[in-house]
Amino acid sequence: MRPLSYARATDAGAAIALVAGHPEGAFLAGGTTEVDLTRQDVLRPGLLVDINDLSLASVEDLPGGGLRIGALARMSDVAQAPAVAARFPVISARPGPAWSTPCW
Amino acid sequence: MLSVNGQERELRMEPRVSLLDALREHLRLTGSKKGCDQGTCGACTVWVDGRRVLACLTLAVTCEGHEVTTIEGLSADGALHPMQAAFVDRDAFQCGYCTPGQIMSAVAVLKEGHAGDDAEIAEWMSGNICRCAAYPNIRAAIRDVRDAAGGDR
Repeated sequence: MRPLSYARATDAGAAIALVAGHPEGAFLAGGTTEVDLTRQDVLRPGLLVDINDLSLASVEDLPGGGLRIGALARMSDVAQAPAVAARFPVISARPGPAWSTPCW
Repeated sequence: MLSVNGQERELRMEPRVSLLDALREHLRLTGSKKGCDQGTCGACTVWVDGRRVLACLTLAVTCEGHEVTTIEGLSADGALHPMQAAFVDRDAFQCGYCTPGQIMSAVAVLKEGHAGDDAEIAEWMSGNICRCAAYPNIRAAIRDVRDAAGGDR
């Protein structure tokens, strides 16, 4: 893997500013795809901004019957969320591990 | 600083170092295995704050401030964890390379409440591949621990 820099964001605004301010900036969430593709040299981030400390893991109901799934919601949590199981069973029917092995 | 199995460990390394390499090459905790190094096989499964993760696709630097648990930290004083004992009793391995990851996932599957029946165990253990195909015995070991603990907890 190529050398890279790392920063941990404390709020969404700071995360966006850090990524926007670096020519090769990228967000690091769960990381299973970002790290895998970076190791394979498919992605070449010069700066990874870790957003895991942000509160973005929720699954919320929206008016009109939709859902807002946070960028940090783990697939297995999404699959098990009651609203997903009740209204979007096709998603719950394939929990995280079966979608894609890395994403618990 | 990395907290591993209840101990604070000081490390100097680049941000690109995976948690798996930090554990194996820097801390000499070689229980976690490197199979594919691309998140497919599950041999590197460890816990971060009690949640199972693939150490090969986790950057070590992201674990600062969190508690990492490896197979070496599963039980204290060299005693076997009940899941380890069940794997021995049920002959739940052949070559043993995937076993540390299987056991870290197996204990987590019980904690998560995903061991109701064999189909559920198979689904939630599906991130851990066993090339020797010891799956029936792995499921038997998990059932044993589940039933000894008084149900799916």
